[in-house]
Amino acid sequence: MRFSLSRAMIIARREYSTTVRRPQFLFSLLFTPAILMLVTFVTGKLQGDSIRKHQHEAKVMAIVDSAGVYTNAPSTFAYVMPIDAPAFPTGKKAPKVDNSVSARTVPLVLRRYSDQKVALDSLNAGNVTQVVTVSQDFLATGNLRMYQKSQQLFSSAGDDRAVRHWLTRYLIANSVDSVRADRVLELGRSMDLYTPTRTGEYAIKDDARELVSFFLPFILGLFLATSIITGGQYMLQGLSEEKETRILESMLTTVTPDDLMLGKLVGLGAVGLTMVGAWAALGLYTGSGILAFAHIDVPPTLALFAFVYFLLGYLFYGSLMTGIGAIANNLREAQQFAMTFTIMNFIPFWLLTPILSEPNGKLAVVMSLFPPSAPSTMLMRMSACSTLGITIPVWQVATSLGLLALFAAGALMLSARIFRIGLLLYGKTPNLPEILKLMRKD
Amino acid sequence: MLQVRSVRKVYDDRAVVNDVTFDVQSGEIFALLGPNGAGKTTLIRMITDILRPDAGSVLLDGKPIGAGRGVRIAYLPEERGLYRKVPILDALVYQGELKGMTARDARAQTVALLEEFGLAAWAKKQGSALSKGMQQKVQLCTALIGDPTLLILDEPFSGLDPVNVALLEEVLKRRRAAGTTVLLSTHQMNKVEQQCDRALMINRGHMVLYGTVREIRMMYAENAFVIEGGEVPSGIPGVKSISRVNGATKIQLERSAKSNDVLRALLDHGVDVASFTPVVPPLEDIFVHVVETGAGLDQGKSGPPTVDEMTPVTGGGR
Repeated sequence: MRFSLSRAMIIARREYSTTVRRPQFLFSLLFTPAILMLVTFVTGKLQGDSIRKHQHEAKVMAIVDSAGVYTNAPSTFAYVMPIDAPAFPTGKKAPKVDNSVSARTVPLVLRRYSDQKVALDSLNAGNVTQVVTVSQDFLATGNLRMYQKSQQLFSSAGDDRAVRHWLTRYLIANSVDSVRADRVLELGRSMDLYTPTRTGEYAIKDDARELVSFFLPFILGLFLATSIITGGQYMLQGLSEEKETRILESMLTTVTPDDLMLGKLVGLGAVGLTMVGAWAALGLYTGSGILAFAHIDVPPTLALFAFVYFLLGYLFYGSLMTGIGAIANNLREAQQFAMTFTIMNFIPFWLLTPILSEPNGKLAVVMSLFPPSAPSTMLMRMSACSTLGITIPVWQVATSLGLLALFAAGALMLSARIFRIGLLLYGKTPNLPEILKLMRKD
Repeated sequence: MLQVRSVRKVYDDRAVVNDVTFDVQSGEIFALLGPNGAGKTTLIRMITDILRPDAGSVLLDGKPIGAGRGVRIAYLPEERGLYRKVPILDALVYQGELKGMTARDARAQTVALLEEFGLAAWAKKQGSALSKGMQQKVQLCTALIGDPTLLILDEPFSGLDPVNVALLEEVLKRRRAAGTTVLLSTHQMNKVEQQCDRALMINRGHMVLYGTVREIRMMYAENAFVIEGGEVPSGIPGVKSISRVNGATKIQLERSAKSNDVLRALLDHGVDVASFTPVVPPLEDIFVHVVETGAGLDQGKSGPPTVDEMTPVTGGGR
């Protein structure tokens, strides 16, 4: 590369100062976290409300008891819901929990049918909320069916705790005393689950902590991926404008293509870093209460790794965008080309659940070693492991960083050559064989 | 000042610029002429070190051209634009800083340039807010900032109204007087005749005319003269034919006749000679003639020469 550091720094300073003053930068800076928080809050609230509403609805259950095991069971029953941990921690203090029994009682009314068809007709007519059929050989086989009208996707495991409770209670009612019956019914709930913390000690698994351990990596990964791509997008826009208006051509008598490329990469990288920094500060300010509530200490090394992954990730994607911006004829074409690479950066978010549910699993490891998806995946893994109290093997982090650095250097060198060639290409955007031919000639 | 020596550039086995050699003297205005697709832009890109020649060399004051980058050469391409969303003052200061000026000096010179071009009131406007003519002038300021020693302008007059054309001519004269060398690429031949000292014309990548503007025009003179004054009688020795042109008399000389002998004979015959002016074709006619006839190129070929066909060509004007 042939460059003058002083000229590259003038370019970098200019790229930075003009970009951070653009309205679209301020929009991204302020609205990305705002929209993310809003969407998280609104969807969480709606989902929580919906669950609570269905939980507390009175249930009218039709039972077709061919085995005759529920003959003596009462026709009405009040099921007391267990008190859940709050679904979404919303402030610095733990939210108050409503302990009133009446608010958590689900009335259950039983209607007995001798014929399944009649019971199902009743279900279809809306007279009952579900039908339970107990087969003749139930005690030998355990065959039991429940029919209900589905109202939600994936609702097969919906909240049928009241029905299950009734079925269990009156199945054993004549066999054990009421104390043992209560213990049987509460056996799952009364057993506390202890899991290792970050320090290696076992502590009661905390639902709030688990929830934060999902959202924290997700948000950190998303911010990192967004800031990497944002810098690249500004690169595309700036280069396309300078190329379309031929400003580049007159600039090239003053600066070398390498001055330009280096200056733009540094300046727009600083823009991305400013974005990450601002979001991190905002996150620490607004999220410290949530983290404290969930007993989560974000290790300082996470910030260091986030910084390193940002630099390498940005160098990789920024270099690619530079090459694309130089070759494409206009912004529209450049964005079409860039889309392929942008998608690679966001692949981990499509695989969010498997990666976060098993942050040291095969998929998570592979995605964090594959350079295009490494920055966001590794950051998600790191924060997930941190909250779950597990560690990532050092070799995986070292290999991930090494491979990413290698790919970033390769992308930089390749893009520098493409950049030199592409700046003077006008008219039809060249295809790959044409680019290779031009590179051989350069 | 600028020495171009046997430069050649080949694309897809076609010589876009083939064995072109010329000099540009310090402080002169030099015209680079040629039809569209002749290879002018490629030649300029090699002079500005944007492209590397496949053969030959470009020297600025005896040094390879790359050494002048950043300070000495400024180039205004034919198709040009401005940053749409950046105030023109900022855009110009930025260009000045890239040319090695401090921000303070760049700002001071930008203000002076905008004053010179009558744009001071628009300094804080964005590029997109300016008319085409104003944008054109700002682009010229972009080239002029940093006081380059070699100024390369590609069609600088296009898009300017007559008032601004006159302004630009005046600016070029001032720059030339201050020692700036100007390389001007244009299709406006009248401007070349008025402004330029010397010219180079290339066609299909080859040099076809090179010399002072006067030398080139005289080469294509018809050996005819226009006489203002009295009637020219027939039978003057050396005069082949006599005709009337715009109220004056045009005499066509025989091939072997000398103009001094003919003038003496006219005076001896008592002809009242107020002026005796050689008929020299305008540069535009010479340009069209050279392009249409392929003068200076090997005749009988169609299309640009291939690499295998490349042979040194002696330009008609040399």
